[in-house]
Amino acid sequence: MNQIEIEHLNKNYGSLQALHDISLDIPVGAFVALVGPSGCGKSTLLRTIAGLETITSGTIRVAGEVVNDKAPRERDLAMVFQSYALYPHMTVEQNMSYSLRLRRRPKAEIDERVGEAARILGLEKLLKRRPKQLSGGQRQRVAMGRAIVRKPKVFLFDEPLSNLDAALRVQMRSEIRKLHKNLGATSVYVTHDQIEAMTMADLIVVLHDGRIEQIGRPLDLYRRPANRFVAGFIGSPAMNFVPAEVTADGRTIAIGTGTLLKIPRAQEPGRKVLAGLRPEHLRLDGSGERLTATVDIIEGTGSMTFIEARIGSDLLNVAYAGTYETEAGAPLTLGIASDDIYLFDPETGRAL
Amino acid sequence: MATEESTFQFLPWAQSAGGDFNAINTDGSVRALQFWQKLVDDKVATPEVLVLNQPDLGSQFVAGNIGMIVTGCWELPRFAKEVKFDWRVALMPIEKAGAPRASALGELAYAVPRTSAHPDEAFKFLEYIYAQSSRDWNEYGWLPLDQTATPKDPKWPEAYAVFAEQMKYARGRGPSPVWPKVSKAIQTAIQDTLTHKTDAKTALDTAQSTIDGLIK
Amino acid sequence: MLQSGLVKYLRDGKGFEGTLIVAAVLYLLVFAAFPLIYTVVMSFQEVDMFTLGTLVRPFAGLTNYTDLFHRPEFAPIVWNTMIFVTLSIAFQLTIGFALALFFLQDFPGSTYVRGLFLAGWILPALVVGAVWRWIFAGDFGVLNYALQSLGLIDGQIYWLSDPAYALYSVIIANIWLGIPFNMILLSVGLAGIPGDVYEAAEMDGANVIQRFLTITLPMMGPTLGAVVALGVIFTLQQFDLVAALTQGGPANASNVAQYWSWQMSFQTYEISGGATVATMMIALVIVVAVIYVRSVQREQSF
Ligand SMILES: Nc1ncnc2c1ncn2[C@@H]1O[C@H](COP(=O)(O)OP(=O)(O)O)[C@@H](O)[C@H]1O
Ligand SMILES: [Mg+2]
Repeated sequence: MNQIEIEHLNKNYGSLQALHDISLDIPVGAFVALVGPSGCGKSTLLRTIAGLETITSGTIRVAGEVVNDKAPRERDLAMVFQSYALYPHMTVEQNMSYSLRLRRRPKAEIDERVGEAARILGLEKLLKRRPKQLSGGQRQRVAMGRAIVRKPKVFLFDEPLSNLDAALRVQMRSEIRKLHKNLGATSVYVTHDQIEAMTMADLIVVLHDGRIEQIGRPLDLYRRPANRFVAGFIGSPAMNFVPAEVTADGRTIAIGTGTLLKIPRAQEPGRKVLAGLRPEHLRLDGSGERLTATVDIIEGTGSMTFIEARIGSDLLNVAYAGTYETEAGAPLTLGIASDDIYLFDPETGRAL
Repeated sequence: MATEESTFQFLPWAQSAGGDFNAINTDGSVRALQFWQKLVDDKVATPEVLVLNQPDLGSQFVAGNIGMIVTGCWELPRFAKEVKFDWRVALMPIEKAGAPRASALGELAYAVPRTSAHPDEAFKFLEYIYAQSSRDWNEYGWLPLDQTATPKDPKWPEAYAVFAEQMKYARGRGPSPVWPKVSKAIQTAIQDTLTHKTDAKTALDTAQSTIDGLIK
Repeated sequence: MLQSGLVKYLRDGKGFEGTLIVAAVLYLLVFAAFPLIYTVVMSFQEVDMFTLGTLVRPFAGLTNYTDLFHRPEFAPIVWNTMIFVTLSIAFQLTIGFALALFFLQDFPGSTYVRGLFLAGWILPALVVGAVWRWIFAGDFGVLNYALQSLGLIDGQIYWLSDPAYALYSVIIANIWLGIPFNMILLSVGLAGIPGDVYEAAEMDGANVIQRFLTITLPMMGPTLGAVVALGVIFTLQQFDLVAALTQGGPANASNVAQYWSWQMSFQTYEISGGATVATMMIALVIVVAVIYVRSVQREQSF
């Protein structure tokens, strides 16, 4: 069963079309990430679900009911804003109890629910403070607490962690994930950070220029990107793209100065393609399909070694788990499993 | 309106009926004020006289909104130029035949401070001013106090005749060092009466006791 | 040598800031503190036209004050002043607030229309007074004409010369004059409330009225306090309109403290009386100013 169903949604801002024909089903209880580069329409999509933006055409259903013309407060969704949007004139406790007070819940119930949320989020000692007296991380928790006390059908998150420092971000990632597991409510989570999406989501929706590029489970997106955009966006460091041509037998491609690589599936002979090679798939022992390159730059962090190598005029990034010592200008023999070679149409970007 | 102007306008009526600023609650003064009150009550005069000043009322006359106005010769240049209907100048009315005529002087009183360092120069200056009196009428529409200073070939000869006649009955106000307060007492009496806060008699009695207290 | 040292001190050292501070303090002393103290001093002295030139005048103790309280016009003028201030502020604030909220909705041309409102504000109060005098004129006024054309009234209403209306006419003109200022200050306050706070409240289930009552009003609290405080001060300063419309008349029906103070000082030359009224008004304004400063401080604490 689906909690949210979106069909052929379009959203225009004047002459600018921010969302193009979006269709998306979000199953009950799923944690769905909307991911994509800045300005691709993630927030807009989330806000149309919330009801904070009107839609130009299409249908949005929440729990089977069309909500196109419903005000946000009639949709029973809770939202955590990037800026937190806490009520500055209210204490933490008042911030969290606001929605319940509006609904005139009994005082005992309000106290209990606020208390529970505060306990879950570790906010018990801060209940009497004003937002101004809180750190960024604490404010973020209050924003979450305000959503939790409502026990809504759906949580909407708009880049909730982007204002936190790196360490806190990693910690909150797993906390939100845990929270989701415990509460079980459907969550729609907007982020521009693919790692956040990969680590947190059951289902990822990749958006680009207002269009859905691909919907899938994190590892499916990693393993089987539908197009060049998704392939380049998912995975870190990003996939290398090298122009290539399918040889006469259709079973190999030629790159750079003529290096031949065996490809997983036969292609139309003579066709121009874009070969995608993930940095972490390039091996330094030369096993598998072999490429000969020259070292341009080498950077080691101890656990990882990153090498920028050159084959003819093409650049390849290599990520190696471990230490490796070489120097700029030195020759480098790389290898890659044939199954790890991706091919894309150079014009449409479609995976082949 | 409640400024010196209203004292200025009222005193001749009181004086002609036998009162004056230091005898403001005489029967005559009371009758004069009651007459004013009746003018306003009967809508013969607009209640706006309570807040309009002389130039404002002059403008209403120019516009043809009011048909009769008690004002001074200084309005003549403007009226002569702007009034579009046939109009004349008349002497101030009196209560009954034989009653004394009266009018108020608009002229300023000049004073030379006792502590002045140049009293002689100040007097010379004043003498100069008065020597120019014969220019007043034609150039400014003022009637000089100095009866010997008659203008050559006066403009608006008819009006000049009336004003010159009226001038014979003119009296100054005060002068008194406490004049502003005396005047204020009279203004208050006028305003209170015309707005029916009190009757004319009570208002003028109050004014009289205030004035008595001021000039002893 | 000495001169270049001074220039250097002014340019590089603390001299520049110091000079600015000294200039500001000097300005305050000469143009604010001195007249203020002088007024207060005069309220305890016997002052008339002839002792105006000297500073040493007979000490009058509290007689100026007791004398003032015993005047028959004292109570009505205090009452008028209270009505004047209260009604002016109440309506300036509510209408200004409503307009500020109205212009917050971004409809086409809203900025231009809002600009037009400001035009009223930059007019000198005396000009505004003259315009309103035409509107309120009893016999040939615009307002009476309009009301009569609409069939709302039969005869004339003497807005300025009828003691029952005069004060309220001045108040109406003053409200009109003060609305743009209120609207602008409140618009600034409203613009300071982040839009996402409203969105959060909307998500939390607040309808328009609830958002106004639980978000807008409390967050505008400090601004409202400041606007009311400034309103009291400006309204107590409002001299020009009274002068232009009614001169406090008829029969003191529209007289207020600030105009009375002027009348005493400059019409009847009861200068100590005028100073006494002014001193009492200063005391009131100081109280209001303290409240104002407090509320500004609280505003910064959000
Ligand atoms: N209120 C608005 N008016 C006009 N254009 C908007 C508005 N909000 C967003 N946009 C445009 O819509 C596109 C998508 O914006 P948004 O959804 O905020 O992107 P993001 O994926 O970074 O959250 C952007 O090009 C943005 O400039
Ligand atoms: Mg965004």
